[in-house]
Amino acid sequence: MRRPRVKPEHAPHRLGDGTVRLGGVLYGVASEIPDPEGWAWAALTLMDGTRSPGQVAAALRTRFIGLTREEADDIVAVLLDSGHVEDAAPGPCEELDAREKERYSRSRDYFRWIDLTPRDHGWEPQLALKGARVLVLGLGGTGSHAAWSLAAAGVGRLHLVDPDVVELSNLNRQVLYTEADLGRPKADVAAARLRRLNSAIDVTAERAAVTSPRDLARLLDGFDVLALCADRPREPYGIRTWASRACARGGIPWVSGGYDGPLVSVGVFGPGGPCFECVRAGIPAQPGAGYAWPGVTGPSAGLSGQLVANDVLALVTGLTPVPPGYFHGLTLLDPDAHVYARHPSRPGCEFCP
Amino acid sequence: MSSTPAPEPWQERKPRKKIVIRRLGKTETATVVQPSGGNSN
Repeated sequence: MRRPRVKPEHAPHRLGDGTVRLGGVLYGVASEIPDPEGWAWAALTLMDGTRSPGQVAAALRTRFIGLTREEADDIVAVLLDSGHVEDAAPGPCEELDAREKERYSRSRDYFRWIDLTPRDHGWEPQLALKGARVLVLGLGGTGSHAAWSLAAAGVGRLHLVDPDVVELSNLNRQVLYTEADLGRPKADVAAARLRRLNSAIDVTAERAAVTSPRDLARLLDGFDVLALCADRPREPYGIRTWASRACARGGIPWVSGGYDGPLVSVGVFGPGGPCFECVRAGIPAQPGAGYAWPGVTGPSAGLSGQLVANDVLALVTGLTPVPPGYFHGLTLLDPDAHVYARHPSRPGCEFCP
Repeated sequence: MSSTPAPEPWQERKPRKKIVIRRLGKTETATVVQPSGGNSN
């Protein structure tokens, strides 16, 4: 790192006993440093983007004459590796032009905030998105929101698949369509809409139904991640099972999202974690589940789609909160509850690591 | 068989001065409440 600077979102605060708090109040980001002598506070103050690491260490020694050179270097090194510091003199990022850097500036700030890996220029997560190829299956309530978010985030290659046409009853929640689109294939309308949203990415589409595992395997060819936003054919041996097996065979991470009215749930699966079928097997059977009643509002559909998009972005950038192999979500009827299920692989599962 | 002689007092090394970063746990952070209301733009 050339000119270390504390990330603005991680600005240090000193507590009453001298402890230094970094990273605000966010779980997964925030940390503390017991600092009775004031070394960390002084070093962080010196990391204002005007000094090299060596200059920070040298300045630290002038303030604390008891520190050896090695000790001062170590204090600086710990802070440089902490994830709370960025380079105020970043390396070049020529893979993104000025327009892209303006468009994705808020994304970069977000990734800088949550990413604790020291980076050369901070655009690394955005470059991963630009190079990603994502297949979106289903463009209804979940898929329309997911596809919008992935295109807006700058996923470089999106392929959209859906068999249906736009109907009036879709318009209470499916964000990519208007009254002028009624009767038109969702795949075509969605692709055109997303190209207008982001002309820098490659969006293709096909009007097709996935009717067999072979269909799904064909569609997956050449993609890095699957966003499964379709619910037909239904489980227990339906499209999610097909996706789980095909993605396991291909080593492809995937995300599946949906809702049962106010209950929103999303599954995240990929190499290294238990497969969909194993996690599902660990969830006790629920009487009355799985009827897929059609009632839904924009918020319910939107939350499921945006959670799918978030998890795809996490898989692509590597900024995943926990390893894949779980369901998560929420219910709009209970602000105090959340959905989370993770179960180990079944012994002998041929699709798990 | 030889043994390492105990260091003289003037030879004893002082503990190395260092800092330790501790990532905060769930109960120590405000994952649920954002008192400022956050952004909406």
